[in-house]
Amino acid sequence: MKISDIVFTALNSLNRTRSRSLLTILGIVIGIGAVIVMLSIGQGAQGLILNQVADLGSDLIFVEPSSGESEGGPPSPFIEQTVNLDDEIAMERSGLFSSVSPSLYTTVPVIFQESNSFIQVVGTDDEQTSIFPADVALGRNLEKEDVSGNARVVVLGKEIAEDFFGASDPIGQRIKIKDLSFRVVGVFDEQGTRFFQNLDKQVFIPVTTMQNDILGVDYVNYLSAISRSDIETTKEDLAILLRETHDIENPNGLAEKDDFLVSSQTDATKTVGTIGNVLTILLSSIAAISLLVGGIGIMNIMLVSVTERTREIGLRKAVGATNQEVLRQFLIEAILLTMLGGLIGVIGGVLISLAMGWIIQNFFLDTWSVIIPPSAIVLSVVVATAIGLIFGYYPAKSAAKLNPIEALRYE
Amino acid sequence: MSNPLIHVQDLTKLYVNDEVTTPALQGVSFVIHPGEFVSIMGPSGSGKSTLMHILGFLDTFTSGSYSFNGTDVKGLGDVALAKMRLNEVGFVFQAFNLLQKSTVLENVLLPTTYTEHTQQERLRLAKDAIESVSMTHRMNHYSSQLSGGEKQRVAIARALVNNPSIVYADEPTGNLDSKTGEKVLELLADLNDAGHTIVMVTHEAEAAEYSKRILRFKDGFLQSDSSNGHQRRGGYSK
Repeated sequence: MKISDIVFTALNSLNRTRSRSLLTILGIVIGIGAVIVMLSIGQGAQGLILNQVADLGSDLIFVEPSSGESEGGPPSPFIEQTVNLDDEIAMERSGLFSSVSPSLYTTVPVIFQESNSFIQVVGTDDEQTSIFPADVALGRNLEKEDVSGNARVVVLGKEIAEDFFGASDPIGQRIKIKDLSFRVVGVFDEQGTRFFQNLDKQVFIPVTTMQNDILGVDYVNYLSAISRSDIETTKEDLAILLRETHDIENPNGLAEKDDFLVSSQTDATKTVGTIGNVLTILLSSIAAISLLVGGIGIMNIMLVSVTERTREIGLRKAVGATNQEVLRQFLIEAILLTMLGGLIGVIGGVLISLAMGWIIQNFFLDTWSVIIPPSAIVLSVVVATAIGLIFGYYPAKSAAKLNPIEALRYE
Repeated sequence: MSNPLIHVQDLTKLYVNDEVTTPALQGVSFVIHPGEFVSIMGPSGSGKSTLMHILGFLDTFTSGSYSFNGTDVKGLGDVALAKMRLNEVGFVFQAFNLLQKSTVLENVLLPTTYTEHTQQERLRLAKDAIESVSMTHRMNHYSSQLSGGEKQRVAIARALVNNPSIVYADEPTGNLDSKTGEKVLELLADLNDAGHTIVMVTHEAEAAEYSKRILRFKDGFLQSDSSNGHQRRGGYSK
């Protein structure tokens, strides 16, 4: 029997049980559709984060505190706040960096006249904008003197300025941050999001004012710096420098002995990549389970079909069909079913991905890019076919094994 | 006389089931030549159906020999037996065994799908076979729309479509009223006149009247082998 005849015969018999066939493949449709949507969204999110990380530039280095002393065992829930402005000064003096800037965050009530809201306040300095470029729309940026003089001045994010002052000029106005009066000296132009934080909804004050007047601490959350030369060499030099400043005896450079962590954009990219891979494996496992369930559904309905068509199978054998030909016919029916399911699933998955991408772009993140990996489509079709082959084999084999005499007598 | 189409010698079939051995056929020998119309008669359990299944390559036998057109059937494997069924044999069943949701043409085409013929050739064979049982006017009707007699004629067309050497009819009138049954038997006799070799299993003496030769079985033994000198014809017109 030619393959075209087998396919034609299979299509014919599927067509005769149309609604049942469609219900049967629903599991495969949902499974494959879910794979496509999950991969699309996963890749979209990964792409988004990687783009943000890449935008930072490859010469960017972060220094953050790290719970250094734990040697194996469960990690300490407390990270000692070990990075401070002395480290910043040491880094500036080392000449390894063109810019170094501290960041210290808190969220406190910010009040202007009747307006009162909890706002994220960032303690930083003038060099922040050399590392993360931002334009000043009105007034000026923070200056060195603001930091050294512990000045109570504030630069507003664009949206905060609009919320508080509307169309009127905010420069020279006074707002209260945690009951302390600050003078508005500038407003940033629109900056958008970085690491899912909306920079336009933050306000910026001198790091020293933040440490001394708002929080009463002597540490910072992290330091950002731009390396002058090769980033890997700089990271090593910086680690040695910080060990000296922190009095850490660590000639072999063991990460667990340090109370700080030096990382770069490349490390962040790797981390995001790893998270992405873990996410993909997790989502794929869920999809695999739904495909397994779908496959069992196919096997079940094919077994029913074989029982229902016992006489037909007997007849086909009586008129000269070999066991192989009967096996192939039922196997191809199962494969056509799952392939059809895969196809509908791919189309549905792509449509849903496009729709979700559109919604995300228009209502949440306009930097989101809709990615539908072609490999996912190819993989889906291959997987669907394989499911048909695997779960269709047993029913097809039982059809092929039927004794034609008994099959013809079957009531 | 021509070479025999079927040559059976000491054919024995035993059914072994849970230490109980039931003989279905016990040392049966006969010869059938091309162009014959033979009835196999006998009561239930006489072994006539078993014999037809063996002759039609659907079942195997325990001992003895069976040669078909000079080919020793004993040594044939599953695939070879399937090919024999495809090319040499046409079956007509008591219960018709048509595919209900397929048309007359599709039913008759079924055996040709296992051949190497082109689609055009298959259509020609099927249409010729349908023509030979005078069912051309019903070709595109579903088999569920046909009367019992029409169904059996379509089944006969299906048996003829691959131009087999022999047609086996297993109680072909068993599910039909006597008048319709007569027409089917007339058709078989006509086909025999046209050169087809026909072996019919029946327990009805009236049906056997239409054949030229009658083999009678009882308890697995061939009891008698007689020619039917007064072959019944008549009453039937296309």
